[in-house]
Amino acid sequence: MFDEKELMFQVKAGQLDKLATLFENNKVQLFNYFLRRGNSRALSEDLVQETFMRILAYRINFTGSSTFKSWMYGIARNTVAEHYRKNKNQALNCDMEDEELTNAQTLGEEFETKQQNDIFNQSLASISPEDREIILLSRFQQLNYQEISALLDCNLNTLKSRMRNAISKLQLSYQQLVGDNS
Amino acid sequence: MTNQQIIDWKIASLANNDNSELSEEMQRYLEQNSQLQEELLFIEQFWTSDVKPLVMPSDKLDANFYQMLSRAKTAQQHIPEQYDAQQETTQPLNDYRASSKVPSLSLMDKVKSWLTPMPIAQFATLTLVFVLGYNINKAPNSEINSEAYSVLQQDISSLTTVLAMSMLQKDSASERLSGVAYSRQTNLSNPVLVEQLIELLARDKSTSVRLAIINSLGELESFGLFEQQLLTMATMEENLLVQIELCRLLLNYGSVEIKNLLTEQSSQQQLKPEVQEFIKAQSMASYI
Repeated sequence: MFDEKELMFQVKAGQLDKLATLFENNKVQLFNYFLRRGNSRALSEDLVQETFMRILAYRINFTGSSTFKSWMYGIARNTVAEHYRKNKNQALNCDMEDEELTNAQTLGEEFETKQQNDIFNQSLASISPEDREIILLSRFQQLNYQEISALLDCNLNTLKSRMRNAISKLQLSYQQLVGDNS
Repeated sequence: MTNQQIIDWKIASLANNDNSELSEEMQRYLEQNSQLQEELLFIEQFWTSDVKPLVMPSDKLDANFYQMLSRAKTAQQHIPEQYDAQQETTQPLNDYRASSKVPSLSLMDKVKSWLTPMPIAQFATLTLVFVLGYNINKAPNSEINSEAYSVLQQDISSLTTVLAMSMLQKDSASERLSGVAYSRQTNLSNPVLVEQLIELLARDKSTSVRLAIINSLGELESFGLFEQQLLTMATMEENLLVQIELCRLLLNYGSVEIKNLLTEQSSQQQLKPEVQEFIKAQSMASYI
């Protein structure tokens, strides 16, 4: 396993080829991060491209004080925020909200799992973007608390408290949806 | 012992795939708290279920990324690293800097950073540029100074080229227009930049950007390999204004063969009536 921080330092030193390794290692996760935030496929791909363009442009700002992943997601968050700031009129293409719950009757375990996953996705879509982001970063992007707190610029205890609140809201929404669906 | 501590432990153990077990104290606390048990069960279900499998991006993403990387490497070969980094971090994405999170440095770190080789080299380069500029003004006819001046001009042109290429990739039409303006400043001496401009001309959504590109292409000494491509664009174009401007460009600056081909297509009524009329008027004007 290669050290991403070391690779980023090599990019910073002018070995631009090394960026390709970082791209290959992170593109799928990053693409899914944008998708899970409710962006369309095409826009998510554009945002991944823009994020890596900024990584290249701002390579001299990488100090290694946090992990490469944490730094990269910081740029990714700014990229998407700036995109929506510039395109205020553009509605968020919420793929998550497009997923309708099926009302069909339970036919087997596979269907039950799918339905449960659908409800999880609906619950995720129903909580606030701030709460959703903390859960996404931890659950799907697999960042640890230290990385997320560096990324969101808050202290560790605040982050833990915010995470618990977010999960409580998610659970509440899940229970409501299960109730509605049964 | 608090609920928070147990939830933290649960998330950490799930997120890091940590298999460490609950301590006895935690277990006792948990047994007495059914609501917390439910909460932990929910977290475990959410964390372990395959809520949304990973979706793979298309090959277009790879293609775009490697194209960008290749351009960056080309630019790096032409421009010394310090100029490259400086240029990319200041001009093209200047507005982003304000919103990007850059780790803050202490005063001592800043003072120390001034003493590193990079700022010293930057200062030396600035001094050199100043001294050269001063001497060039003092003795413009000197052969040595002329050479230094032309080297400086080349450097500035390279920097402007990179800046233009970066601006042309922006989402905002006004920024792409600035990119076209920067392209004009380079006299379109870089074929990669010309290629990028023509590519943008073919697909840009903004008519203003496309018209500005057509206008700047008039700066080219010859269209060379791009001439046929421009002719195809002029023939296939659906936007009347852009089509007329493309025809004007080819009629004014194109080779004799291309002018003949365009006139021929016009006479065969393959173009829109307004465009045919325009070409006819241009041909008559050229006779006068």
